[in-house]
Amino acid sequence: MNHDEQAYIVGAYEHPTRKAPDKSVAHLHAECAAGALADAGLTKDDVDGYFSASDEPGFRPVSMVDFLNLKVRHCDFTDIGGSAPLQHIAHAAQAIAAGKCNVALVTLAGRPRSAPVNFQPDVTQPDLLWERPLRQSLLDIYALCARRHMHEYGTTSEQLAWIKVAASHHAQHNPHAMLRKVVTTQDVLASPMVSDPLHRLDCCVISDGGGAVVVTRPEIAKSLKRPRVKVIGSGEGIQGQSAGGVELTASAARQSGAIAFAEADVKPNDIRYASIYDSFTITVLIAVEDLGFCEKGQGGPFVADGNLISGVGRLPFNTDGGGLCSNHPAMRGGITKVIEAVRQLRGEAHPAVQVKDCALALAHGTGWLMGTRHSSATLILERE
Amino acid sequence: MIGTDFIAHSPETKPFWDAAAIGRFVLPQCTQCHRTHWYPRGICPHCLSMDIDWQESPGEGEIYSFSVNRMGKEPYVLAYVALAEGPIMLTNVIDTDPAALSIGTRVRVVFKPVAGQPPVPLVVMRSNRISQTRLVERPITLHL
Repeated sequence: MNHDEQAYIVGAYEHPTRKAPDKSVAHLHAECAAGALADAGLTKDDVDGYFSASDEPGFRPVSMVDFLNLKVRHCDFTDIGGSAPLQHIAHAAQAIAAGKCNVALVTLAGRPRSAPVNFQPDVTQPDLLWERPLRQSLLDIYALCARRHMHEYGTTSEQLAWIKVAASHHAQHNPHAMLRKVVTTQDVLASPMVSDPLHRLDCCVISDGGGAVVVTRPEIAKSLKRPRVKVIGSGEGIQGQSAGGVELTASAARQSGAIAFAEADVKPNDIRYASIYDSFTITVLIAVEDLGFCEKGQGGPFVADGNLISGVGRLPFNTDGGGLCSNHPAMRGGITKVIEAVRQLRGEAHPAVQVKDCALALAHGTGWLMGTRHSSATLILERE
Repeated sequence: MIGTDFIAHSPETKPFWDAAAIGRFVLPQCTQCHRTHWYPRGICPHCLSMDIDWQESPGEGEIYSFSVNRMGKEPYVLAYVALAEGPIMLTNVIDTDPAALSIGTRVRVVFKPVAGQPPVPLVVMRSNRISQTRLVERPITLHL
């Protein structure tokens, strides 16, 4: 796709709440939608495209379109897990280029902290038949990836801990972050072993809240007052168990990243800031390798010694504190990854973590479960 | 029973459950491309042939990766096991001290059905003589 035809992110809003006992999920989606539209300088009547995933309540997306009283001519409810908003932004850009809509709204919200999700198994899901009888949690599945990575490449728990340390350095500046205390690698290693080899501090937070993003065509973006963030590359991928040829140390980010970089015609070295999905520390480490920021297997040494800390290392990441310390609303970190990348490109991140002259950023999501079957979605965003 | 519901909604996998019911571990092998797959389907995920043979397996393999969940009263082990036939299978290692495990540890399949759940294959360490649930006298081939 020609970059001149591509879409812009003109509105971005992260809900400040991390605990919302007195709000419905639909209301949270709506507050996020209102916040992003206000940020863009648009109204709900400008919206003609709506994108959401299964965090949206009701008969999706019909219930929410009706709740918001939108008049859409294009909608997309493709749920690839926590990475869905990144894919939705890419799909919105494609729909805009195809003339299917002009102003696309992407929302994500939920309240798993106030109302724990009661997972109802779908008896028609083919893999659940074999896996649901097992004793397992999603922690265990990510721990399988971590153990295998350690075995193949000599990665250590201390190297993984550096990812949490970097996130905590950023979170201290975010008044909304759930965990604002700066931690050390020793703190991470001393936290309880929840699923060996992952410690409690290798895990993200569980938070209520959400966020929304508005994507539009170039002519409309240029008529608005906000700094323009252009979507110059996007890629997606799904990786499962490959009929038994399971890979635990590499993800679909190899594909989503390669496609996004080729489309944007830039290299990993050009990226000034990266939002990288951080459900667990290992999720970041594997993505950093697969996206090409270092060689496969070198993620451990790459993330160590503060290399992900803004102002210190080569690749400032998740400068809002990420899911590891700030926010993982609806148990899905996709929308917050985009929002912090937009802040960085607009120069609106906290001054203590703002990357100087940040003109090119990457946002990456990993959906569902990296160790069994997952999705990846990558965006490359440019300040104009 | 939710377990029965699951099996009823995947009728193509009935040969597996019929074999498991008598303690036999079978793997789906494609008669067209001759490859074995996991998790089992009635259609070959390598070539989409629907001609599947259910081949008896000794159920031997090695741990490919494992995690030890320590959040409850008793730890439990989730593992990927690389079966001798090739496929890597998600399972639990049972009746085993987690401290004795490493990647490469040799394990074998056992069935230890839980009420209300499909009798999925679990594994124990090969050196473990406590679990002798499997009874396999001769190879069997079941056709769909």
